[in-house]
Amino acid sequence: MNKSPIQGETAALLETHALSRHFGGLKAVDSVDFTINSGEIRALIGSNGAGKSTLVAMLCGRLLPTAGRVHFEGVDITRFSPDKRIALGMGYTFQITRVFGELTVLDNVILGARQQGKRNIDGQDADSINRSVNAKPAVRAANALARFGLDQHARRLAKELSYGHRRLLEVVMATATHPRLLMLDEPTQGLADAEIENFNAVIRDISQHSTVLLIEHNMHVVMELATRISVMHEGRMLAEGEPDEIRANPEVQAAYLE
Amino acid sequence: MDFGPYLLLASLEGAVMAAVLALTALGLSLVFGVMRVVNVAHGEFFMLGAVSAWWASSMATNIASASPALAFLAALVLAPLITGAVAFATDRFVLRRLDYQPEATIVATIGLLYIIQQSVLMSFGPDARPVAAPFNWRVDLYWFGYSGYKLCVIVIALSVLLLAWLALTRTRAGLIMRATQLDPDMAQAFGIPVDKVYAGVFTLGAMLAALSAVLIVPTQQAHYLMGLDPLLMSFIVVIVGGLGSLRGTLVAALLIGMSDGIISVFFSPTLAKILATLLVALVLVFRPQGLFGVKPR
Amino acid sequence: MTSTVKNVLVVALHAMVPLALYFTYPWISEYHQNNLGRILILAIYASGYNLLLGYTGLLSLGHALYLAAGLYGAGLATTVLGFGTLGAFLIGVLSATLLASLVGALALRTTGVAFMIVTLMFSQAGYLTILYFNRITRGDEGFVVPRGDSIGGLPADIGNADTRFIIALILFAVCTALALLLVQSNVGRVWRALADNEERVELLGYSPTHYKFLAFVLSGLMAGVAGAAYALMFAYVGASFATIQYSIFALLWVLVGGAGVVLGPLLGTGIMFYLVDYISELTSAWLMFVGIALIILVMVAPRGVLGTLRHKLDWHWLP
Repeated sequence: MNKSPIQGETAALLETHALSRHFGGLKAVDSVDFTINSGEIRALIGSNGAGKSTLVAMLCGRLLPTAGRVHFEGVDITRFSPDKRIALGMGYTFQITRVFGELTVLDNVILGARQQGKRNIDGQDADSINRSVNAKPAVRAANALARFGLDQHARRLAKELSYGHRRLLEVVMATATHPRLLMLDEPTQGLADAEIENFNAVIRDISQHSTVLLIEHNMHVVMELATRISVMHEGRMLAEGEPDEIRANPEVQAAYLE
Repeated sequence: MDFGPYLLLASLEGAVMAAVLALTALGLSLVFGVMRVVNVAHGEFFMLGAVSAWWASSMATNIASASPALAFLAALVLAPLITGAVAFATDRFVLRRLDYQPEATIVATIGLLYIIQQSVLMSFGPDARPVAAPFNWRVDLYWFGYSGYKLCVIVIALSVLLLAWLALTRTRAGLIMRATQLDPDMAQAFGIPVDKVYAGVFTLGAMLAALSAVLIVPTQQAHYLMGLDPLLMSFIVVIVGGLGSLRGTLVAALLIGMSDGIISVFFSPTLAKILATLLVALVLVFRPQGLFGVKPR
Repeated sequence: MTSTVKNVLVVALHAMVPLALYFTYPWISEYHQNNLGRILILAIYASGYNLLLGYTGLLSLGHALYLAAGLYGAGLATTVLGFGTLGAFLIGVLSATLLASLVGALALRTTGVAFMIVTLMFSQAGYLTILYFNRITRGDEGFVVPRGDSIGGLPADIGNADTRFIIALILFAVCTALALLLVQSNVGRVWRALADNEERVELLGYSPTHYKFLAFVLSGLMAGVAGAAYALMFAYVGASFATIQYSIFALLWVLVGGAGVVLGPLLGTGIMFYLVDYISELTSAWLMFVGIALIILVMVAPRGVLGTLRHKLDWHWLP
């Protein structure tokens, strides 16, 4: 398949077709068709064991599907390794924070920023990004840290940061690659309420340039940020719609919201 | 001698090698399987067993003027005990304090290798020490006579292996060990004293190496540098058989021991070792679960 | 402090070490002068090992194989093929690099404990191969490599200890500069990140295999430089350099000086060289001391001398 020529708001950025992953007899993800369009903040919700983590693991390449396909901007990436997917413009943060503790905060971000230089940034991306493309990775990394308020910690070792700051650093690393699709796996887990407020602002800021897929338990965060919500249940896609629709959906209420 | 009898002789030598190797490798395999510790000093436990056997049997002969059979019996009891005590102390004072991290324990057991080896050098000197076999029967096999003691080694080693097998699969202690192997955290949560299991397994592993050394030392001699060969051979067996798999270890010991014996007789021992080491490297690269192991999940 | 100023200071610090050795050399006794040449060459071997263990976090137990490849490559090129010093040196380095590429490509398919054992087994196979072909290699006994009187057409009396020192110093300086350049670049950053968390590195879009392979081959290359230089300068090649013991020496020297510090290997090699030199005069069981040192290091000071210093003083800038 060719690269999609359409770059408008409604173009499909990521699509899955009948994507499945079985563990023995268990159908963790069962024939899921799922589409994310450019410019969205999409939330993926569902109870524990609904298959969210397995689905996301297949999207970012940590797990290969049993059946089905994944397309990113029209390119079939089903069997691509994680590093190739990043090179195509996907970004990902972990459910459990994993920054490089023995490296300085700045070095952590430079690792991400270096990757951006490897590929072209779409012309329609924000001007600020276009300007920064030509800057040195170290400068871009420092700018990214400043943008998220971590600049005063740049020279410290990452393991010395507080938990909330490490989560934030993880997001800065992922955004430093300037992904067109940023997948955030439970980003607010373990954060205090005040930190969550700050976090929401950060996500909104990121969504100016990137499409965001948010895997989240915290319904306040979901309702506040998401433009669309997808609900998984027992390995299948149960419903999809705008926040109000999902809130009103009786099936979803029965399965998840109660 | 014709080819047939020559092959029989080579196979017999191979079988003795295989039986003792299985016993030594079982110790290494248990320690790796249950504790995830690669014990580079395993060969030195073997060597310590052999040297202790010489010490115990010569003490018994010189002081109590014991017969060769009694002196050997003393060695059979004392050598594993001495070696086990050293292993127990190692676990308690070194490995446990390192929290059994793979890299740290491997470096520590390398250190232990030199400490044991050089302590023996300092206390017993660089000479090779003979240990008398408990008896001197020869079995007449028509073409040639063969040492009855060596045949006896095969029988003893097989009996110990059978006992170990039964202990692991049929007893409560075996169950506890297997539970710890599967998931130490879970085992701890169910009230299994994981620390004690580890200490026990490490001691037992060393005692098995010492026991095989006692069995083989009458056919060789005890020497402070004798540990490297059994170490590498046990590594080979444990890896070819599949790390932590008991059945695989036994099958691989048979395969490696026999082929080593036969290739050594017909070609060159060095060539046999080159082939075996390359085999192990390639098995680990292309079939990390071992030739006989099952792929995890 | 801006990063440019910082970089200049770091380079200056590392340049000072060979310079200091150069100016110290005339003032020390002939005995120490001789030792210094050997320590510098062995430190190159340890520096290569440091790229792998200290930065990338890969523990190889078979690095003596590449040291030996350098030794035998250069040695046999001289005695059997009749090459001159420069040609023999390059053949030694090339042999080690090729061998490291081959073993690296295979061994890096494994991780953790399996990686340590695979590297150990390949190196043991190499050692046994040297013994097996003892008609050419002369096995444990080894052979003498005649010293050349020129390097690439330029006259150089390698029989002269002062000349040897200068050659060793230049080789060491070049290898240290290479190591510094690498670990200060993004390659070094990825290596350190790999030691920390491999999967995370892959999810930032780097291929762990490529970077690990690069570290493996470069460390093999540096071992080859050390081996080839050793054979040509000290005129002897023997199978003892291919034993597990020499792989463990690399580990020990790096751990003593400080894994993941560019200057660690030189310090570690120097400290251990002199300690072993002293102890082996007291007892023939000097390897006992190596064992004790390893256990103390791993239990009490896993960061080694410079690593502990960097940690205690918060010198994150020290590469």
